[in-house]
Amino acid sequence: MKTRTLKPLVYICAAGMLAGLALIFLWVPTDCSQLINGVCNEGTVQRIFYVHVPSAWVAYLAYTVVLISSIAYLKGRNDRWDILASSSAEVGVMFTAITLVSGMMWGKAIWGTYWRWDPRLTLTFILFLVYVGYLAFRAMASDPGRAAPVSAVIGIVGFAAVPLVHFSVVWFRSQHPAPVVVNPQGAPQLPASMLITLMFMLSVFTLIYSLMLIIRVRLGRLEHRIETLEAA
Amino acid sequence: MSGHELLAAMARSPEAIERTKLIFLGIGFASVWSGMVVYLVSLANRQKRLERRLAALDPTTKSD
Repeated sequence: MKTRTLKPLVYICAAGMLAGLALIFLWVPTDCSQLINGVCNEGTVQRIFYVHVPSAWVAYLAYTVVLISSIAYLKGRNDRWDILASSSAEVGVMFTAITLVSGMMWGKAIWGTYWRWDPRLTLTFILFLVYVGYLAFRAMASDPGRAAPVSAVIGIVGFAAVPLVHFSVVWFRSQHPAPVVVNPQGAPQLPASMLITLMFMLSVFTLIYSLMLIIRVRLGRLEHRIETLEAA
Repeated sequence: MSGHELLAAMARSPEAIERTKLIFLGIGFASVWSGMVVYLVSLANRQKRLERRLAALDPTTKSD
């Protein structure tokens, strides 16, 4: 895909981000559902929710793409699937890092500490390390052709951490807030304005993920072409 | 109330708590946008480097 054809997507992402910021800071009310000594427990800082949760969801989506393309690669040994898997893993790692850092800021404001060895936080960190390991393995492999099947297996096995991360707050005792949209109760546990803003930001983050993935896949194809030329 | 206790009480005042929350909200949002921008810039740099390598290897080949 040429750079020119990506421009509309770039403009849509930028406009979506601006509209999202307007919704987050001008429309959605400050969360004051819990009062402690007359002060809102969450208050303003709860607005991190609208970027923290979409980052985590997009990371899940990225790892799902890694899973599907790794299975497709192992079935057909087509390098296009391998390029898609590694590209999606890289973008997923970036979104997981954003999730961890934004969560740490939220935690510091509410819990008074950046980090707790809570099941959700620990498992998210392990998920991050699994895919950093996947990328490190690919980067260190001397023969990319032989590394591809092994990294596909890592991509498939590593996906087991995704449902574990998501449902860790339900399955284990955790101080992290429980899932409010995809949860055992079925229906979303959020007021309409918060849910609309969250869904809007989720769409914008998904578009940003798509944009990054297209650019990264194009780079992967370029790398593949160079490797083929160098091998010839 | 000692000076130390007064400072501690001031630090826990609703205004101070709200100010702290605002600071962490700002850092949280900045980390999200800066993470994305840094990644996009690194992708652009990698693309330029690869295109130069490809041009050196095969001047007749065009990138995607």
